[in-house]
Amino acid sequence: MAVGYVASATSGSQASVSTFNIGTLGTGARAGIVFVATHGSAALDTGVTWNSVAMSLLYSATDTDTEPGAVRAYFLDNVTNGVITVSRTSSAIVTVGYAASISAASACDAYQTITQVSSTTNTNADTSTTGTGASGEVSVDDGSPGTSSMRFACHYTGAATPVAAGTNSTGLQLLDSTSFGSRFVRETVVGQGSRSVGFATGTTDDWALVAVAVRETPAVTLNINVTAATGTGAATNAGRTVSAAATASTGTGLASNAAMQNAVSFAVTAATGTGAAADTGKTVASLGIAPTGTGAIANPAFSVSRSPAVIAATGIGSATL
Amino acid sequence: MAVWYRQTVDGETTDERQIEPHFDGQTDAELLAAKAKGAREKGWTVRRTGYQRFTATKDRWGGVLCTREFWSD
Repeated sequence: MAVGYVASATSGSQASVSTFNIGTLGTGARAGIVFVATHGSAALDTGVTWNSVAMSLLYSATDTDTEPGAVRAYFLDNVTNGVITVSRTSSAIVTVGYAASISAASACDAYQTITQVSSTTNTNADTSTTGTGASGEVSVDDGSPGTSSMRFACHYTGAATPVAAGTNSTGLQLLDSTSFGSRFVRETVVGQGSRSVGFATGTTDDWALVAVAVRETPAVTLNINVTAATGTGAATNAGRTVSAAATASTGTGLASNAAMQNAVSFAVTAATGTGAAADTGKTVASLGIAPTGTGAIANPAFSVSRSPAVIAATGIGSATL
Repeated sequence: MAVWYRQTVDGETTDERQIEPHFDGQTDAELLAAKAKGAREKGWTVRRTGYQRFTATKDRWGGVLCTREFWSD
């Protein structure tokens, strides 16, 4: 499958209010993205909710001089249909909210965010600086998760009119505040890797841009088998982002699989006798054969995609991943 | 018919760019009037230079004179 575009909405120009609605979106959607642009000052938005669920603030781009302005991006996976509401500090300065609902076959995340102000560009970090910038598209990576992702972008400009969508982008919404403006676009054709999204070249003016790649979170392909210690002990698989199946301990022991998510095969055979097989605090795997007798095997700090197996200690000991 | 603008900063002039109407059915005269009103509100000096044509000037970016010409073709 792939990430897809469902619908978009805009709040239009909003000033002298403490909250405003962008619209109602979410039908047929898995995730949602919101950009809030402030036309004329640093960001005034203080939060966004989607059907009453708080969205996560990603990053911001803030142009701090001459005709200052800002863009901030928010993301939420697993949305439901409902009203999107922006909270802001009330003043006469205009803010505008743009939202898009996103379809996908599975859980989504915002993998990479690019922020750009004048000639300064950052990845997964805020940018705040002075000066003018040249309009254009930016490259946004999705980490090549195995399915196609979609990139979204929003700019603020001090130009006389919002800058048009770029070659690889499709315009969704805009607000032309005469001498300030902003526009919201999406990537026209979805894909994997580092791909361009944004705006037409040729305008050099006050400029703040945020671009985000939304992808389907890749499934972790992992098989972990933990055969626990024999004797009195425990086999634990806590705090990991994988699903698991646990075979409970025989004797005095424990097999637990708490707080797991996502699609991975996981099997834990719990301790028999005195010992422990522990699988705590990791993101994925490796291979360890535990000692026999009194001892332990530790495989900490692994990160992704191997096929691990831990055969735990026999006797008094532990196997730790 | 459409509304256009181009900008001159420090003697350097950009290509002309089309301004999209703010809503369906907005006439060129209405769009130009909105642009002129907005420019005044944001501190630009607006001067009519002909039929459906005006310029807006303002010091920007630390004192650089910026001139924008707006017109309908």
